[in-house]
Amino acid sequence: MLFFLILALSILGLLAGGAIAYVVGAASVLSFVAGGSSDFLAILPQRVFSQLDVFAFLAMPLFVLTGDLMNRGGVTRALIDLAMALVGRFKGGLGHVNIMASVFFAGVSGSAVADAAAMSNTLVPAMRERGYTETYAAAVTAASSIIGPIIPPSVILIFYGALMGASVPALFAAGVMPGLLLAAVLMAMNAWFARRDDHPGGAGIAVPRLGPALWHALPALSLPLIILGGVLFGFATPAESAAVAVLAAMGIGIARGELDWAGIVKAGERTAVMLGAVFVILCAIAAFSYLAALYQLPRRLGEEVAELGLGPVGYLIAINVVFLLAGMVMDVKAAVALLAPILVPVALEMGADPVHLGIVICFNITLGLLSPPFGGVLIIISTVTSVNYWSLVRAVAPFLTAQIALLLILTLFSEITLWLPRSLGLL
Amino acid sequence: ETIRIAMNDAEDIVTNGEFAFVEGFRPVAEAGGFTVEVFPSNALGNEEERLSQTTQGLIHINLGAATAPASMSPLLRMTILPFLFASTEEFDAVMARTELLGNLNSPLLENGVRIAGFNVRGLDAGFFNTKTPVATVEDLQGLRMRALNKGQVAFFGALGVSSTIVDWSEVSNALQTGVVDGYVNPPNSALRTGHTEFLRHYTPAALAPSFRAVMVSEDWYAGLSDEARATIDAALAAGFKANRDWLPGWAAQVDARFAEAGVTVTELAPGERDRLVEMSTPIHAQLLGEEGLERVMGALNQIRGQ
Amino acid sequence: MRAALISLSDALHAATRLVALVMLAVLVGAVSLQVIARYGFSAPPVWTEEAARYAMIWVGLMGAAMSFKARFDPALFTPKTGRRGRIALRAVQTLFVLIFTAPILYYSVIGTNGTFARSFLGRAIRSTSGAMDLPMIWVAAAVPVAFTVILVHLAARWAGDARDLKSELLT
Ligand code: NA
Ligand code: NA
Repeated sequence: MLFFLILALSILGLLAGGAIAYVVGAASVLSFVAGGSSDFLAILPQRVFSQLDVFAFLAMPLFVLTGDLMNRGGVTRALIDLAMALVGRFKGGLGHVNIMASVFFAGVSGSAVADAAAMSNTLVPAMRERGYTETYAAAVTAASSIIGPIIPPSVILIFYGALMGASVPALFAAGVMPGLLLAAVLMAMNAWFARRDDHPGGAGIAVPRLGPALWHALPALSLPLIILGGVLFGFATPAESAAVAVLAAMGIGIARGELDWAGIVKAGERTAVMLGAVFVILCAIAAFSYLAALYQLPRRLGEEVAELGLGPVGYLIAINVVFLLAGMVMDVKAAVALLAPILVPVALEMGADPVHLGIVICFNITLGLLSPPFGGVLIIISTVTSVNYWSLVRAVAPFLTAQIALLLILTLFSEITLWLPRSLGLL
Repeated sequence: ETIRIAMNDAEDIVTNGEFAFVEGFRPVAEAGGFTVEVFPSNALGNEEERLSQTTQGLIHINLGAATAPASMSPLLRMTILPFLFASTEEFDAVMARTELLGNLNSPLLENGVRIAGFNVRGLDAGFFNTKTPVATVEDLQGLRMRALNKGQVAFFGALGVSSTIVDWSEVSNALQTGVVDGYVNPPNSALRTGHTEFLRHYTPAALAPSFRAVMVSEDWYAGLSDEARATIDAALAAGFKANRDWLPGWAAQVDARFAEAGVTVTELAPGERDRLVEMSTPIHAQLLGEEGLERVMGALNQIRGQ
Repeated sequence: MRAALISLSDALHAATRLVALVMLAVLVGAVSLQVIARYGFSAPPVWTEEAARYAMIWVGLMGAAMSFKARFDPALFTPKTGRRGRIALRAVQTLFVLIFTAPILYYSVIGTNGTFARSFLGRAIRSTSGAMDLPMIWVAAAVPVAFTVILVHLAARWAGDARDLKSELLT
């Protein structure tokens, strides 16, 4: 009863235009009190602190800063011109570029959030400039950002592997096909939208000539090289590559004569504000996850599902439903940590493959980043761009629907996932 | 009354020695009228958060890394120093029969937390690497090792081996791409994380026993009745016994698991361990301070003299 | 009084902005140095990883305060109302900010047993970091500082601070 009151109050708060962070945070605080656990509110300062005290999180502000410096220094424009020269003759060309960029970015970053932060600060402005609606640009960016955690490397796959004792290299190999399939589905949808909504590109559009475009983009091309090459060839870790990319973006921008001291300060200020805005939301959600863990909610939910007595296929689908629901309200890592050890062993007993299941769960849980009420990627993109949260939710819906369909296919046909690790002898 | 126990790993009795502790603790506590509630997988937060909740009496017993309370009691760094304690048995004797545990605890008690003892995490730490079988100090020279903290940087420095600090979250990636070529850890760490897919070579060097601390909320413990405290003491003792009893079973599996993963196991050449000990002993004073080291050595000599 | 409150809020905003920029520079510098040191020096500096993390904590928390001042925190809805409606909405929003912020500030200085010693800051005073031996209070303080500044910004809104810093930020 009390909890319904809190829920009603929170909805009122959101309708009144309250910031998500503070409404969710306050609702969590009230739930502690209503549940008779007010003493546990003493965890809050340390919880806030620990949300940011994470080395892997460094990649996020660093990529946001890189993106901002690239925009201000004209680097983004040079890269977009090159991309236009290459794919501009196709309708919806920049949409394809956006998706392809996420495939490449996926090879660097294991994080959908880092991808979303970097792309919404570079490709969304570029697409808007070329005549796409900002909402569509943001939606494509959101939908393609989850390619990151599926194509290796992936923080969440490493985490799952460690937790469930599954081979990480096998998981990495298993993620390649589903990731590429996801990219293909998104590109097909982009092509369809391009035709239906008459997106820029195609016959009659002025396409920059490849030679000059390449020449202008040459210094700028060193940036993706630094980011990708640094990581792939063992020069630096992702966070380190991001820091070097910041320095490179600054250097190139200054050399092009388009970036000055004021621009650098402005980029820094925006990065701090962006990090801060995202961070308070994370704190609020973390307060809520703590309460759920304290009351052992994920465990209870998991045990109920495990005891339903479903057959193998039914059970796999039930797992998917549980993770989809969890992904909507919980942090990705917390959801995997709390649910996988309860749900996965039962599936393994029924003959499921741990690697296949790992990919399905990770694919699934990242979809939570794209679904309301608290889709992490949606929140970040609507913060970085100025697209209204619900407009973005609506624009992402068709992509999300297709992704859920793909998830179902991946769940039912394990061969798609397991083919590559088997051929490589990893299984 | 409910006892909340928190830990960072899963409830897996095969690979997790801390869960063996829980399974030893539980029946004794329950027989004494307590209800035991376990929060695995960092459900209540990371090492720092769990420690903070233990100091406030929100978590009653926390199974965690000794490095977290080391921020309040620097002497705890002794638990991760190479070649300080000869064996787990020697360490246990020092803890049971000298003042050292009291010394470790005095700064912790001010903060409302007390270390009741230490669990073993698996076997002693050795060298893992992606490139070459290591039998001598020279074999390590061409490698760039991942260092966990400044203690390990100092250790590799003393051996003349280059190292670089890489956060645990990035280790898998760093090993795969070649940012680093290896690390120092107990077998457990590499096997459980699947790092053995890249780490093809292991050298058991018995660098240090791998300990994890059992932290008890002092405010909670002090507030119990004498009878209840006796129950908790007995349950803790049963937990530590279960943890030590778990070790041989796990140790027996390690070789088979390495074989299954295709990892070559290379023993150190004769005399090499003594060289390692000699080269790395100077870092003990560097990391513990002269005074800290004196305390530890005093306790050790007391045991070794008996 | 009102003007003074708004000036205080502005001054704090300028200060948080400065701290955030300096700490962001430290962050980029420390992580870059880590790469350079790996190939340049035989012994890597042990403090870079820790310095980067602690700098990020300051940037993130100062950024949270800046974001509040600039009304940058994303909301799900943006209702349109008249002057009276605006005050009512602001009252509701204020309530939520206070409920979330109050326990963070309270437990920063008071522990579960009612003493400062058991509080978040009380423990930080007696802790040092692993690599730099930095007293943890220098990092932990960022939490109460940020949320106190947020409360000042909130008070300034009631005192009439209505400037739109968001559009300026987005350019
Ligand atoms: Na990836
Ligand atoms: Na994208």
